[in-house]
Amino acid sequence: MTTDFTPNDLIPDVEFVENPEPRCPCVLLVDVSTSMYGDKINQLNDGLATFSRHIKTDTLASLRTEVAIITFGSRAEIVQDFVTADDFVPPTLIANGTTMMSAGIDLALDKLEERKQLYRDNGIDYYRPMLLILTDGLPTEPADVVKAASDRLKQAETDKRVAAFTVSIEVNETGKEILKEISPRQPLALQGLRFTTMFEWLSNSMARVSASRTDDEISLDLDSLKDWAAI
Amino acid sequence: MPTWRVVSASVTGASHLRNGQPCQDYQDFRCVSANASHGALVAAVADGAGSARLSADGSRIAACAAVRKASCLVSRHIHPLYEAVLKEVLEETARAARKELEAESCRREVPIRRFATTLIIAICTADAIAAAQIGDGAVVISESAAESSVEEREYLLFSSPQRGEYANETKFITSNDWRESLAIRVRRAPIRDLAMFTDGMQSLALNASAGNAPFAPFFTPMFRWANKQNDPHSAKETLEGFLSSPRVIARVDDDKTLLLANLSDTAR
Repeated sequence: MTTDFTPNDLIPDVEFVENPEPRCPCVLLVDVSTSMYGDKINQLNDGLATFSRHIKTDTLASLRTEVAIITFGSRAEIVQDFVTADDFVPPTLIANGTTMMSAGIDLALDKLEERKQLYRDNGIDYYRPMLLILTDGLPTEPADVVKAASDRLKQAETDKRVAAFTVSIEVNETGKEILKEISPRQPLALQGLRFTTMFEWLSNSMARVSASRTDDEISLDLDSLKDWAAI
Repeated sequence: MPTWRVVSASVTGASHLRNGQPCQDYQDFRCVSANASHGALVAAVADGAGSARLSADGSRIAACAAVRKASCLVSRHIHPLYEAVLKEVLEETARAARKELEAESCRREVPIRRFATTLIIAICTADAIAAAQIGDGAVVISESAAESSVEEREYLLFSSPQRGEYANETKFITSNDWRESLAIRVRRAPIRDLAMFTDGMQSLALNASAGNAPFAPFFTPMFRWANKQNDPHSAKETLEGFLSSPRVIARVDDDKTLLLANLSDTAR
């Protein structure tokens, strides 16, 4: 976790006066269960660092994109609360625990609604939030808990309250089927551990969305998806 | 007969300059002298979508078609422009603008969404104001008594920006559901000042956290200045200079259009 101060740590919510740009919130919901230990989590951490560097090269995108990182292992935890990309300091995530994915989904959706309310209270325009779920496994919670979280996520997607993408990391075919059940959209399978390419894509996508005036899927940079994902 | 003094300008936003995009905003206006009872100002501003390839053409076609049609309808009217008449004139004007865009899309064999643009049309007479709007941008008016000084005037948001929940859900006249978006408002009152502007000006001109109330510290000096301009060309240049000045650009890097009009004092 970072201990660096951003202006907002010093005086809460002053960020909306200092930076009145419309916001495009993006929650990275990351699996930090024990199975992510080693190469996976290391490469993912490198990817986060790439994302941080990459998005900062686009001034407008870095003022408009807000990043939050929520992890799920034995519990769901906010590792990075919403911060504009220009103030984002990539954390180093540590893998250890079970896979409480549903708790993570619930926390992410709660945080997003809370954030939107804060935008409205401060007269800040915003774009449809993006939720990116990164996982190498399946939830270890009871089936009814998983279904409830999945239903809630699907409803949020249907109501256009969020655009939710699931990225599977080295998940076998059976696992992929289960993730498909949980996710509102067809999950994307990461090719090998191409986190760096994936995060470059994310940075480009956020830049496109945050400069767009129509909410069409084209702004998500779908052409370059194949550089890192098998759909 | 009242005469309208108009200053208007569109400037290319910094982000458009960086990406090599043209200015996708457009404005047009005409002073129509129909008969002694109603000298009218007809004006339009349009903001082409950055993501639509031909939106610079779209905003130009829409604004010009609207001004042409509305001028024609207004000048043909020999009777006073009652509320119902103004409403009909604006509806017909919006249809004409949409038709021009459809014709252009047919002629060039491209989908109409490539011309995506917002459109605001205003018709101002000495005793009434009417506006039609699709998309963001706004119309602000003051209707204070003729004797009041600029400092004392109250500014009203006459036509407001339209938007869905998200910032990228702008309404366009090129959308299939443009008729549902078309918002028309007519008010019978003597208008003193009129401002029309595109989305790029909103953060300077409106207070978003106060229901988009017009920001008096912006309008008071703008109209104080505009009231004194007698040379439209040099006034336009000054306005362009202001809109592209570093501090304004630092606030908003989108294209910006501002049209300021007032009844000239000498006419009263």
